[in-house]
Amino acid sequence: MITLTDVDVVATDGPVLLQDVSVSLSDRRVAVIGANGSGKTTLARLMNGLTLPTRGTVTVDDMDTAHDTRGVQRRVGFVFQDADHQLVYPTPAEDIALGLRAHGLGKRAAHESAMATLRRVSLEHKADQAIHTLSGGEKHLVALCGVLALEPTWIVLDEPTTTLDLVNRRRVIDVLLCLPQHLVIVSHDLDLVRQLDRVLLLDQGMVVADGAADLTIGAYTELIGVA
Amino acid sequence: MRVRRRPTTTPTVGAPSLTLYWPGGSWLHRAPAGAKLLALLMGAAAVVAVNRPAVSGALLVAVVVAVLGAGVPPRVLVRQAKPLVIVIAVLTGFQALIGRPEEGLVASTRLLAVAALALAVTLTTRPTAMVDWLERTLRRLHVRPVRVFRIGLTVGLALRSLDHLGVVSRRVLDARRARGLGRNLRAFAVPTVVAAARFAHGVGEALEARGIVDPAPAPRGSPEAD
Repeated sequence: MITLTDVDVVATDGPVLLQDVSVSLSDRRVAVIGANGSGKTTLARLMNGLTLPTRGTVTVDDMDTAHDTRGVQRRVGFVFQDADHQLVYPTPAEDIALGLRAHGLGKRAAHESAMATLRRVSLEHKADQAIHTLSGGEKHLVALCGVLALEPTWIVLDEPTTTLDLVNRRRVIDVLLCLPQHLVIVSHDLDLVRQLDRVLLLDQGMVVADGAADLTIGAYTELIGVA
Repeated sequence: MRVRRRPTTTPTVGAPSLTLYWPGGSWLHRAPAGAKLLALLMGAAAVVAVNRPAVSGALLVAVVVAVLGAGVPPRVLVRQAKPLVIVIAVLTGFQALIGRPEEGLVASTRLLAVAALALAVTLTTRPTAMVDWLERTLRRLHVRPVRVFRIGLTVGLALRSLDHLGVVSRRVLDARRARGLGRNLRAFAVPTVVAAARFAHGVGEALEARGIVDPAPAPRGSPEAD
């Protein structure tokens, strides 16, 4: 379970990014929605320990992100919005194997595991292709594979479909919805959000609605005046 | 309305890599990276030790034939060698001007032979095969495993960054042309440097998030956009 208790996040240069946020997440698939600048990405980053709260605590399975960042990162995988930044080695197989080797796996075992993970998303034929020649959707799937290979309990995804065309968007969503892990998806893609179990709505750094998709999306459209 | 069906896969963009590797299955490609690097070292040493243009020339011809035989197109070889050929032409011209044309010939054939050897290695060896070889060698030299992993990571990151910067610089050049800014250096340098810095920052965070490097002491709160 991921628990945020009385969390404030104040940026070093002054603005309040999140204010008095308290939520517990144990649902399989959770979405976070809200307008630009509402604090969605900050909320997502708190769950992996990339950002620490200014006040309050964030725990993952009772591990405090401020004190056991390594342990938290092993449990919570994070997929960035820009897959290009997440893919740090020249080819998909090498990139996925890199994460595994950093966690102590031998070279051969890491390569085999990387190939097995690529097979899960039908990208094994791209294993040795240069990352910069992959399509946007393929890059997102490889970034997801880098996280999946480490078998985290939770996967946090920051706008996984924002920059994708319809074909790649469908491909990424199909893979995401078949994953056994708990998902937290930050997204503006309301069609995707509708397929999730629980939706948090953020506005000006506060959680202003929390519940089933239809109700929360209704609150969101009302909030931004497009209902 | 009739709609023509398109293939379900997205075509990949064939952007050339800044790392020089040219894929292939020739004997030169299959030869171990360590052996090729050793041949490079020995070839360079021989060219320096044997001070005769005939030896350097013969080596140069042999290497060029081997590389072309490995399936590397001549245009690729020419493109890579062009900057060096210009430098050599200037050097040889200068030596001829000061009345030492033989020395110019010796120096230029030497340089060309060593450059051809180096190109032969980089064109036919996967960058990661070289990283693997480097890691194996460091391990044999009893360098600490953590340090070996970090050195390998650094080289791998450098290779990936080269590829990414190649893509970024092409995009920036396109944007500059689209805005009609012609050869404006600032319109190229500023966005490229900013993009490189963003990439470096993003990669740093990703390494941390993936548990590949130890987390930096995170500041409480950070101004991330949604």
